[in-house]
Formats: sequence, structure tokens, C-alpha cells
Amino acid sequence: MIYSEYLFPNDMHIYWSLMIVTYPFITGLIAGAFIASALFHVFGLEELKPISRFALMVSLAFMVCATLPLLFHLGHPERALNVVITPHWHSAMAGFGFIYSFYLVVLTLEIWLSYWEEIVAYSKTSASGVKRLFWKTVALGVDETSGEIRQANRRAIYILGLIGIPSACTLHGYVGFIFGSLKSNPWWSTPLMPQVFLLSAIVSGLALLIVMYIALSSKGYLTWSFECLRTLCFYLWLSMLFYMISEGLEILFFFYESSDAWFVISTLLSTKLWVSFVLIQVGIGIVVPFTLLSIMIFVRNNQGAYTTMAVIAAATALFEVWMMRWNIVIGGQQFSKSYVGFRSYHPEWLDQEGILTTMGLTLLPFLLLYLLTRILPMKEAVEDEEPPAEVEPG
Amino acid sequence: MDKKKNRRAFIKSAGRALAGLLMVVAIPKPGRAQRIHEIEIGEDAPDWLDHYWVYLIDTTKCIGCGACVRADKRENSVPPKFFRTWVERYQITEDNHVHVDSPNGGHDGFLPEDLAQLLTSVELETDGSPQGIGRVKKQGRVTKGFFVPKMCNHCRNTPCTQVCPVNASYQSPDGVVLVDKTRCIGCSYCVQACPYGSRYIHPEKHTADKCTWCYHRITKGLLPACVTVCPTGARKFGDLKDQSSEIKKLLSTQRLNVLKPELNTEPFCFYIGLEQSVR
Amino acid sequence: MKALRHLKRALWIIAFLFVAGNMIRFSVVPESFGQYGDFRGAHLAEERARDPIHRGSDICGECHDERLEEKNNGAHGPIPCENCHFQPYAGDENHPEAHPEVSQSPDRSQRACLTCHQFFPSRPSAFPQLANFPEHIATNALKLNKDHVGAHTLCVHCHNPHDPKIDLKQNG
Repeated sequence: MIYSEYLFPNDMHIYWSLMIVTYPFITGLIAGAFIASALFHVFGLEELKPISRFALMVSLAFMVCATLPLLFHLGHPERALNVVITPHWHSAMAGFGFIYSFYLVVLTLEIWLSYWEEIVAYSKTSASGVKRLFWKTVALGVDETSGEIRQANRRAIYILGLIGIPSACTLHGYVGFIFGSLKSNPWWSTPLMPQVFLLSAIVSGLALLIVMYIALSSKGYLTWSFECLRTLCFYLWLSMLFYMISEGLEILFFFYESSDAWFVISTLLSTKLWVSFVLIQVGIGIVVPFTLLSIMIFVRNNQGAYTTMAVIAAATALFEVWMMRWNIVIGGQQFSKSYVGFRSYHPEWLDQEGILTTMGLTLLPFLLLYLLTRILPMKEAVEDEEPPAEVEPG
Repeated sequence: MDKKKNRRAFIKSAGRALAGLLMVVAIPKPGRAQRIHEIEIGEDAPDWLDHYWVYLIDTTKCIGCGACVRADKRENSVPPKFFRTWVERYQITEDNHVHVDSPNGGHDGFLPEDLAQLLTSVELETDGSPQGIGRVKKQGRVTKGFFVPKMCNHCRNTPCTQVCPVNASYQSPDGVVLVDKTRCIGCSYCVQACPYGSRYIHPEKHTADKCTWCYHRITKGLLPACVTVCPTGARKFGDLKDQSSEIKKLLSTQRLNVLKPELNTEPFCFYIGLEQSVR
Repeated sequence: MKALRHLKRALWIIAFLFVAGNMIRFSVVPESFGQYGDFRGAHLAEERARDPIHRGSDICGECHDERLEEKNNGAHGPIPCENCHFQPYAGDENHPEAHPEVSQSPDRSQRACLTCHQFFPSRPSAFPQLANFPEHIATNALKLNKDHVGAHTLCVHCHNPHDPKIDLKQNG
């Protein structure tokens, strides 16, 4: 049967707009950056030491901003806490408040312990009394940096990292679950969705770290190590590979099962998503970085060429993940539940959920990160066994 | 048979336990039933709860006048361009093209904008039947046509209340899916989850809104507004617990169907004469 | 273990925040939450409280009993007064205070009748409907009253909406 185009009368609106594109993007960067630091702290990948602490800070900066797009999106942001007051446990969304706060605690603790020596030092050496009081409070009144404490901290960081990995996976997997568990929407409804979201989160997190690492270490803010970059790029290549397989399998199954879902999806892909999914996301976003990263595996000595390729690959990979969020969130709403009607979406510049808000919310974590680096150092911890020299407060 | 049942019950409870484990802090208050319609209604419960409502639409009787849509808009102050109920017109041509339309949800009926044109000259199309009045271009003769009134299906296995993160949307003990507008945060997850397009976000209240089967009427012994005004009796409403009701008789004798049965939403809005091409 | 002092303190703070947070959380749950299930029970009563707007034809019959009887005995019997007498697009100021939304002078245009009686292929064939309006006028109205023939002819010139079977008296 051939249908004329028809949308259900209530299906004229796209309710999940740019904010819901931004939210999983920012959340993905958290999970990605965290997993990068876990590779060092838990799996002992020594090459990643130069960015191990910085990655945690990136995570925290994005974590604090992750809820903002949601608040901008809600019809009643003042009721946002209802999600934890009267949560509905059958709803994938209800867990958000709890998963989020749990993860925030784990992350804060891990950063707190990673910077323990600095915190104690500042509580003794800061010039002004207010600052000393602040750092003393942060140190919870403890001012020791003995070897015993370091050992305990290292152990605690290891355990926190161990807890953090499944938390990061849950935080992002659950975002995928929110979409993947809706049987009403064929473009979303697939059990591969949490996996696709998680893998793309790791891709985006690693890609962001690569770009920032190259930029910051060239200015001397981070310790340059070619091996560190190589390791990051290798894991980016690996996660992209798994990500591509998952996303590819998803489409392949839709196509091969050829059910109602494929009827909608094939039309979507050839019309509304032809440019943004097929040409931009796959054609540029996947092919370019994956090709470059595959070539880079064989580049061993030419650091300049390698770095240039790494920047291009990471930037396009970041862009790909953003486009993937767009294509899933917006693409999934570009057809009516009648499955035979399609609609367009054009974001406004000045809307509450518009382009300017999106840009602001995407840049805000970077501002926050800058502020964080003003109070805590970016570089890795010094490995010597001596506690930092004590300076008498003057 | 019994074994199978046991097994299914086990899988169900195991699934629930797993879900509970995943939701780390999830400790619902004791004594709360997970599925509200399984609640036993106690003796002290008000008698308005002692019903179980069900809706039946006979598509063979609907004439597409749109009286139900107009009545619903008045009764429930439904905002313009949004619909708690709407009527779709299906026209299937001999070359198997399905033309569906629902101009303004069927609120103004299906007459063309320019009535004068229809009244002064009836240009007969292709085969000589006067169908040049629709808004769709038809490629051939309409061999089959019908109207399908649609609304919230008040499903038993509700995909929309399932996803509401704050328990603002729920199913009442008498089987009606409602939205508590003082709790709703306006996340529109339920709008995404409804496979029937029955929900929308109220443009002024910024909360989810939908058909309530006129809960303020049915609990006072009245029929929903759309049922009251239906001139042909295409829309029927009643109480499943009332053994002598007309709807009970119809449900037990007619051949019924529901919308999108493959999604297992268990709608309690049944259809008579529903064509398989209906989306 | 002196070395674990800061960790212990941190854990105490987290435990305190967890307990305090949950206490606050449970204290702000609406009172009637959980009364009938996982929702605010008082909402059911709030939803019920609203006054119905469509009150049925019997109320109209309290004043207009002959009209109601006439309607009930005719082919339009099953249609409640409100279908035509409620202004479909906006309120009407003509009716007594009690029902400001009810109009005594409903839409008498051809559109009002054709909304139900225009032929559509989708309409059940047993339902009385007009396939060709000008032809209907030409063949029927002409026989009844020559004054009213033309594009301005209204259905109500020949048909009494309360009892639509042809009645020549309506032609004046």
C-alpha cells in the first residue's frame, strides 16, 4: 500500500530540540574523559599520566554543566527536583538524579584525593587567611601528606576509579536507554542504543582530550609526551571501531528485517537525514577520522605530521558525535507516529532552546574548566616521595 | 499450562528484581501496588472508583462531522491546533493508494475551505463520482472510504505513564490515564513514548495534556462530551463492571480491534470495523 | 589508622548529606501521594471537581419543551441541542445568563448542514447525504418555492432542522 503524506494532528511539533542534542553531547564528554583517566588510574596505562588529572577536571567541568540543558528544556524547570522527590522507578529518566549525584560524588572524591598534596600545601602556604581557611576546609582539617596517607589515597583513587567506570557507563548507557526503550519510535527503539551512546561518548571524550592535550601542551600547560598522544589516539581508533560496528549493525538489522521500522527509516535516510546523517555524519564524521587514525597507527617517527593528523581526526570525531546526537534526537522526531508523515526542524537563534543558548551552554564548561585550572594545577602530580616543602605562612 | 504461568510469573518477578537492583536507591514505599489496576478497591473507597471504564468506536458509523472534536475543544478548553480527540478521513483508491487527512483534526468537518465552489459547480472527476472536495489529490476512483475517530487509548500496558519520571502521569484505579498538572515537569518524554500521538505539551501551561475521557463527567454519571454529541452513536463509552451495560454486550459480541496491536499496549479503546491500513 | 582520617571525615560528610538529602526528599512528598497508587491521590478529586459544560438536552427542555419534543420525535432526535446551538467556533452573547455559551440563533448556513450531509466517499453509504447540491435544489426546491432557488438557497428554507422531513410551512 502506498500512503499519502499524513501527520497526526498533534505531531506537528519537535519537542526535544537542540537542548536534548546538547545534553547527551556534554554528558558524553564526561564519561569519555573519565574513562581516559581510568585507563591510567585503574589499568595502569603509564603513558596517560600527563593528562590523568587534567582529564578528571575536564570531567568535573562538564559534569557541573550537564544538567543545564535539561533545565532549559523543561516546561517547568522549578519542578525539576520532583524527579528525586517522587521518582517513578519504571521510567528510565527517573534514575537520572540518583545516577548523576552518585557519579558526581565519586568524581569529586577522586579529584579531591588526586590533588591532596596541593590542597594541604595551599592550606599552609596561601598568603591570605581566607584562602588558608578555604583550603583547610577543603582538606577537612587534616594537614598530613605522609607516605602512609599517599598510599591510602592511591588505593582510594584506584577503588574510586573502579567504581567510576561502571558509573560512567551507567550514566551514559542510561541516556541511550532513554531513547532505545521507546517502542513508539522505530528510529530509536533498538537494544544497541545504550551501547552506541556509550561508545560514542568515549569517542567524544577521547577526542576532546586529544585536542586539548595538543593545544595545552604546546603552550607548556601540560607535559608533552608523544607516547601519551599515541595512546590516546589508539584508544580513539579502537572505540571508533566498536562504535562504527554498533551503529552499522543497527542500520543493517533495520534494513534486513525490513519491517515497519525500515519503511520509516529508509525514507528518513533518503530525505530528511540524507545530508545530516549519510553525507555529514557518516561521509565526513566517520570516514575522515577513522581513515586518519588507521594511517596514524603506522606513523611512528614523524611527530609533526602525526600531531596534525591527530588534531584533524579528533576534531572531526567530536563533530561526528555531535552530529550523531543531532541525527538521533532530531531525526527521531522528524516523522509522525503515523509513520507516513515527515516534518522539518529549523532551530531558532534566540529561542530559549535556540542556537545561542546551545553555544553558550557548550562553551560554559570550558569557562568553568579555566576557572578550575586557576585554583588547581593542570599538570600531573610530582612523583617524588618528599612532601612539598613547607613554607611558614607569612 | 500452570507451569508456563509459573514460569512467566517468575520471569516477571525476576525482571522486576533486576530492575530494582539497577535503580540503586529504589525503595518504593511498602504496600504500593506496582500496577495500579491490580489494586483491590476496599469497602471504604468512594463509589466513583467502583467502575472500570472502556471506550468503543464503531468506524462503520462515523460520518466525520467533527461534532466530537468541537465538543471536546469546548468541554476541555483544548488549545488551538492541539487535539485530545480528532477524526481522520481515509480514502483508498483502486490503485491501492491510501489517502489520509485530518484538516484541523476534523474540527470543522471535511468540507473544503471554499464552500461556494462546491455549491455552485460540482465538477465531476475522472469516473463521474463527485469527490472533488477533498484536499488530497486522488489518482483513481475511491473504492473504500471511512472515518476513524482517534483519541487517547487509555492503554493497560501504558507506554506513556511508564516513562513519566515524576509520577505525574498515572492510571487511575478506574482505568483512566491522567496527568497531574501540578507535578508535571514538562519533559515531554510521555509525548515521545505515546505511539498514537495522543499527547501534547500545553502551549500555555507547559505540561503534558491529553484526553481524560472527561473524568469530571464520567465520575458524575455523565458520558464523555464526545460520546454525548455523536449523532450516529459511533462513539460508545461504559463501565466494564456493570454487567448489564450496552458496552459490555457490544464488547462480548462484536469483532474488535485496537490500534497498533503489535506494540502490546493493551488499549482500552476498542474499534469495530477497523481497516488494516489504519495507522 | 591515622592515615585514613581525611577519608573517614569525607565519608561522614557524604553519609550526612545522603541521610539529610533523603530526609528532605521524603518530607516534601505530597501528602496524598500513594493513597491510590504511585501518584498524588488528591489529584483524582481535583480532576473530578471541574464542572461539566455540555449538560445535555433535558436542561434545554425545562424551558423549550415543545421544541425538544419536536426534535426528539424527528430524524434529528439523537442529536443533542448543543451540537447546533453551541457556537462551534466561539461563545455567543444571545442566550440568558445561565448559558452564555449557548446560542439561540445557531449557524443556519448551508455549511452547517453539509458538515454532516455532504457526500463523501468515506461516509457510510446508509447515511442520508447529498452528492450534488445544485442539482438537489434544481430538482426539489424548484418544485416547492421558486423564490428561493439559487446559490443563496438555504437548507432551512425547506427543512426544519428540528424535524428535517419536508414541511412546506417553513417556506415563508
